Amino acid sequence: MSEETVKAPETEQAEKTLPEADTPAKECAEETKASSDVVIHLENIVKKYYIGSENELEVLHGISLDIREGELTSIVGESGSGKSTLMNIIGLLDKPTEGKYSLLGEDVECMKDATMSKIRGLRIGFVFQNYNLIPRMSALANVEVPLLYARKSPRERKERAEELLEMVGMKDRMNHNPDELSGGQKQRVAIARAMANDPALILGDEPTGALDRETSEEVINIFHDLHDKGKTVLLITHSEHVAEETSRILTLMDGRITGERKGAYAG
Amino acid sequence: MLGENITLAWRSLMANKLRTFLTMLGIIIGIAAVIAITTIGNSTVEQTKKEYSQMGTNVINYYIYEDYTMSDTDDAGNVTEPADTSSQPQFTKDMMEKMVAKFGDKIDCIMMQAWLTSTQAKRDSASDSKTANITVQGVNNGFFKLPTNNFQLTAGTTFQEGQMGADDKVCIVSDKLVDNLFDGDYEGAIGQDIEFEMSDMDLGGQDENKQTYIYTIIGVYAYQIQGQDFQNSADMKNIQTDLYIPYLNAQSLVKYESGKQINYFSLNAKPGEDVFTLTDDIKAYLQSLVPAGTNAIVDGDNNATYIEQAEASVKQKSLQAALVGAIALLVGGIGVMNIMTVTIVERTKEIGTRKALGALNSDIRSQFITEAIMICLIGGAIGIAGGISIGFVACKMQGIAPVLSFKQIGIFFLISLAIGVFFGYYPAAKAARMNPIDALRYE
Repeated sequence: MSEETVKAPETEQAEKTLPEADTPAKECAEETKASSDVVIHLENIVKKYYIGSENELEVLHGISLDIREGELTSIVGESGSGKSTLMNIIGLLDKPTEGKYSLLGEDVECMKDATMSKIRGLRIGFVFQNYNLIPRMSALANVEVPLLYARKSPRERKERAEELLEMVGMKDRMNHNPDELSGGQKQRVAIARAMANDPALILGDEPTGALDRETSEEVINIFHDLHDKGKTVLLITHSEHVAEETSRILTLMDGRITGERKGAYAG
Repeated sequence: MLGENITLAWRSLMANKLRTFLTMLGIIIGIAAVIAITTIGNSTVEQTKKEYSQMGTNVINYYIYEDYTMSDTDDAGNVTEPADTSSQPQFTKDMMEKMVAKFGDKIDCIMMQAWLTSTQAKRDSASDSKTANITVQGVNNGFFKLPTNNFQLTAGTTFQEGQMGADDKVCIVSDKLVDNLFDGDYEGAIGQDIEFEMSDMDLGGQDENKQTYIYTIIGVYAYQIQGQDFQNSADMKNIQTDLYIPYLNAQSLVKYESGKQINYFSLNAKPGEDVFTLTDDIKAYLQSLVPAGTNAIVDGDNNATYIEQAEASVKQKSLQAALVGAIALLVGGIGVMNIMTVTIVERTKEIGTRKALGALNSDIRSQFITEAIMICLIGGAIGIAGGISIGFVACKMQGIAPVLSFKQIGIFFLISLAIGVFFGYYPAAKAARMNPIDALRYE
């Protein structure tokens, strides 16, 4: 299951023409089911802030890329390169100003807020730099949160959360609150939480950014495990070192993808 | 989901105990104040009702008196003495008979009562020095039937045919009197004579010299111990009880003119009669019988009227209390809104995280509304408990039996709930509308 990670070169910036500039009434049918193993399909994604005002700011200048099922990919960029913005758009936390994004074959532009919330909960697992565990709730309860919003029964939630915490090696500390856990432990809990609804895509936003080298490696290893189990993983990082732990590296600079190479990790 | 929301809300409230309590305080004080005041009010009404219904809600009292506003006035408009002072207005025998003829089927009994004087009684021609304090009253048999008087015969009879005339010297005494004079032998006291002294002056005349009156006991009644009576034996010895003699006999003893007339009587309407209508009908009829050219006015009232008045007065006070309480609750509600706004700012990041993890806007909204409702419901419960406690203590201090209104408790629970929803909605909706990335980035 390792060799297929290499194939993704057709997503160069070649087709950078703007065929569908900003037509408000796009056809919102699920027409892009063609290549069914494409998890993320970005086409000329532009993101502008302060639209219409003097200090209008274009952060992303037309990003196009495809990420296929089972890939372990990283997007590397300095701070200010627009990688967080890109991550928010991919994670359905934000909408692009222009361009087309389909996630798992569904056009994001046509989605209602509630649909986006549901997809975030069921199909995407977020791992944040600063963990974003909810304070005053045990590790177990934190892992249960996405299951709660997926309307799972209390018993199902507990069973699944325990299983996931066991997977990340946190079962013995599952009744501790976040402030009783170390950084590495918190991030393990956060990864377990991201896995709760068995999402199609795991998004890591600087997942090791707050960790020391040793714990970083432990966390990276968990991502490797997930990849080995066939999960699609996308890490966003400023660290070349972390990027080398993935099999496909995309470089983001000033809002454009400027390069793509194979990473050191082969699975 | 509701269960989770409650757990979450509870956790959040417990994390800031002092703040939660201070926020609740507004609600607690508002609700406690209203509950306390209305508990006292309701208890007072119940007390009044009980007192009056013990006296009988079907009892109607009639009075006749001179209307001085219709008297002669001098040039300056001042009231002068009525033209004819010799004849006081009265219910004449003719009036009473006509009234009974017309309304007899609606009347259970008519009571007439003449209060004479207080004195001391002893056994006639007894060698011992035993005495009993009495109040001599002339009554008719209607007196014993009137529920107001709560009369219970222990031995003997009430006035029989041939014992109700002006010259019939029979009496009905209390069991306490028998205890004091006849060592509690109630049956044995029947037929015994007792004597007591009264002067003309006691009976409205001029002469101060005491005369001895001798009466034969025909009945013994159970004296109802009043709240203020003390129940130790010394007090029982000195207790003052009523001694009833025939009404006409009492009238014959009285030394002043108006004392020989009827200017007050009570009647008991038969069960099922509309007391208010009957009161007015009889009043109008009696008024129509008043001889032309006199200024007599007939007035009638009933206990139901007093109950209504008490209820109306308490209702008004309760309304005022409710208004004050409503203002307190408004302030309390604003406090809740304020704290919810603060909570939501503090927990922006949590809201962002939850949204990233799939929470719908409605999930976030209901989470925070639940929290606001919980503050209000817990505050409401404490307020209700506190208000009831204050009300009960206040009632006890006033010697009123406290009354608990479950309807009211239910209403205030609903009000608490409504405050939570109303004042929690805006902050919760604000939280629900938060943009997830802004919320996630918030530090």
